[in-house]
Amino acid sequence: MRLAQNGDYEAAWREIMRINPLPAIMGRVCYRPCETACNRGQLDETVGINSVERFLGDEAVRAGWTVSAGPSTGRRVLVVGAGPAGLAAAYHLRLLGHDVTMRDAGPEPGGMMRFGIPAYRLPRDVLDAEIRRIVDLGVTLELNTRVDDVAAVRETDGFEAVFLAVGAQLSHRTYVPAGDSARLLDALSVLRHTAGGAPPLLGRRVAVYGGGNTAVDVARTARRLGAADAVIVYRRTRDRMPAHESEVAEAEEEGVRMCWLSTIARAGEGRITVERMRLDESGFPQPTGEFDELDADAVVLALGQDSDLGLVSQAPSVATAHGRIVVDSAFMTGLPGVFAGGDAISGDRTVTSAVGHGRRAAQAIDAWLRGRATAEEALVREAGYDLLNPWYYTEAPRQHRARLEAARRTSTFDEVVAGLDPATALFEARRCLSCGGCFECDNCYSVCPDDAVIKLGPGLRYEIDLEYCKGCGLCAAECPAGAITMIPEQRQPT
Amino acid sequence: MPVEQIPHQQTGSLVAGNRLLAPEQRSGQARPDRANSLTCGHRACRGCGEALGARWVVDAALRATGNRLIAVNATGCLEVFSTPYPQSAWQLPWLHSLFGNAPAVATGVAAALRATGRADVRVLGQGGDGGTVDIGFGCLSGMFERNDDVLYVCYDNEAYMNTGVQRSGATPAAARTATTQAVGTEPGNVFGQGKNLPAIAMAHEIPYVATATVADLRDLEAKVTRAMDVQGARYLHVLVPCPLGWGSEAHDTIRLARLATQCGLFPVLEAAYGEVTAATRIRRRVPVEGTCAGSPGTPTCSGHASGPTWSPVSRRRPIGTSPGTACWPHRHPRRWPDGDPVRHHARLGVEPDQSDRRLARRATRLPRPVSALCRRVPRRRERP
Repeated sequence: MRLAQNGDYEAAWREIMRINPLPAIMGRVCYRPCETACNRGQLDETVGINSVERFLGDEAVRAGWTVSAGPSTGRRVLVVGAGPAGLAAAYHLRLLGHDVTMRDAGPEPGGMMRFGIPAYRLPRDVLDAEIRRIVDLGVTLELNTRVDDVAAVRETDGFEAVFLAVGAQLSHRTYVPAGDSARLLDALSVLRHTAGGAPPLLGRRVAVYGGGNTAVDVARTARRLGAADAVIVYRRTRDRMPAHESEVAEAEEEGVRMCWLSTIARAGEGRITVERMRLDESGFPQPTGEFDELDADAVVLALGQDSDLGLVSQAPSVATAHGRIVVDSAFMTGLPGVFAGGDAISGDRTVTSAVGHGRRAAQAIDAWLRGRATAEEALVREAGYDLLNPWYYTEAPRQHRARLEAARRTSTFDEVVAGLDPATALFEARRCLSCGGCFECDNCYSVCPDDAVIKLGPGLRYEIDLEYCKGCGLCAAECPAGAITMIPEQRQPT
Repeated sequence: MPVEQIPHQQTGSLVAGNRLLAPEQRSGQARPDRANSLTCGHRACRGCGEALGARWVVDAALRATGNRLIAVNATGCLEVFSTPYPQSAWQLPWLHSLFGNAPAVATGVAAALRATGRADVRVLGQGGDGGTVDIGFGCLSGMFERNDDVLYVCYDNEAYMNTGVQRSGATPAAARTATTQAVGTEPGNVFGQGKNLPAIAMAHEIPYVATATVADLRDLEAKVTRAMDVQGARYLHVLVPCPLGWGSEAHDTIRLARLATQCGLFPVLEAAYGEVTAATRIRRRVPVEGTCAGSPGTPTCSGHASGPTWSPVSRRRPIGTSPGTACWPHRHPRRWPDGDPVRHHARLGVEPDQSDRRLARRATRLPRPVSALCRRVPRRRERP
């Protein structure tokens, strides 16, 4: 943010790329947990960190900025799965100088970002550009290659370490009594075929069963494929829905209907029977015995996903639990040198956490290959809102990204949310409060009644001259960002 | 408003520096080569508002005059903490004579400079509220009336702090000082007394009168710079909270001054020839009444987050408060010329505990409606 505030977008992008190799993608699909924590939310509205990230990512794609791999170590690492976790791990391992081979069972890299996230949220040219940048770092990409037994492949092909990022590609099934002519589909195959250019025939009325982000994606996709009526059937209430609030709101804008507190009891031809539910004291839905009928040509099940863990079934030391691989704090499975991340391990199953897994696993793999302990990440000193002095921040309303008009959102897969232009991106970056971080406003230097703050020059910040400081604390109180801490002086024993 | 308000850019022009602005848009005090006319090592208390205000004022005046400036000081804290014989913290020609004659001495210095053909050297007179409002008042009025070429700056900490916090003519109603204790039903300083010196200075129709606080230091700097562009008698009244005398925390000096402006008790304005020409708008209104959100010593330092530290008193109904909420007995029923009753300090029949008393200690006041006062004074001088 600091670099973006100065208008130095390339430096700001390079700063992001130290952590996140997919800023243009993350600037679109991330659910922005960081903005929940943003202190500016208590002043007016949170800073659009995500929209600035997307702007920088798009600038990088437009200008063709690239990064270069680190000096080669000659160590070979296999990454299984070319989704967000695998791509992030491959990127960071290349920066650390390791030879990376990435294998994916699919025909194109991207994993769920390509086959799960619809194009109106993530245009394919952006996806391709960011993946190409990682592959161009020297990653050997082998597509349509399924890894069946991780231990055997590692042995025969001579990899020192393996990172498993196989994702969760299998749709969860549930038993729905259905007539012969009922059309039941699973959400992932609908999304995958749509992404592959061969959308399935859904009919005019589509019921989607489930309350997660995938369910919302399917319902919105169905609207774009020509369904006049898309209904999400979910057994709990809206506030208990795991889908992200902004997605649900966008879906409702597009005419997706919601049917709360309902389960599908029976599916027949052109018609389904839903049972009304009510929540008990513990918030769990209980059947009421009341039934309704809904018109639906097709029912899409979006009830969660499982990982295909066949590749570790012959490695008994790799523990699994609840259909996910068990890893330690360094992302290592029970088999030394075999690491796992992304949707295949427990987590919240978002692109955001997958990219984070990829980075941290790459660091752990690097440490393991070099025989070192994993480096502890430096703790960032957080400044809560109470440490700030909000008086000094100017009134600056949040810059919202434009959205596609509703008519085009039900007929095309054009991207719904537009990006910021350079002026609004700069404005948004400058709304950042820099909580806890000095941004050289010279307030401490100028409010000291005792001239005890020494200005060291641009970029060098300040020093307190303790010979003359009387400890009044005005500098700390009037620091906008709460970057100055008062520490009581310890009396020296005589 | 003399200082240009630059919106957005993270902190805009609200902070002294801001790296996002061009160097010429930052304040003079943000410059590494600032004069530091009142240099480090002086003996002011921790968090002294006067030391802070004086450095900004004198540095700005030095810059405006190209370092051709002589300062004349009245007796007071500023003189005592800066020049214990044989030392001095001043880095400019500086004179001290008596408590009550600083304006007269400044007049004399200006006259001597004129007589010796050194009209390029300008004169700055300065003192506390005691030396200005009370003891030096006759000399100051004479300096105004003769329109001598002196900028006189009063650092108003609202009592004689140097001698032990005794009441002065600038002490606001209901303020606790050593000589106006808030005991029993006594509110502290009596209502209806005291002088409003900015209004009196305006009544002299001198070329420039302004008020400022240490809460808006860029505004203070800009007003000094503007005053140095003007010839003749000029007066600047600066509110400088005093942690020792006010019983406030050292780190709250700027916050208290900010609250004084944001609750409307201390208006920040500029006037030329007796007419108000500009006033700083209240940015985030806070009520005068109510309690201090932070207990003493809590490092909440923003006018935004916390309530003010003042007791529910003011001589006029402050902006943002509803009539009738102050229910203090009218022991001295008085009315303003417009018929608005003067509200009084109340104790609600309950003996205050120590924290209430602490809160009740301070009150600043709103200067009288200056326009009403000025209209009664016949114009004597033609405007240039």
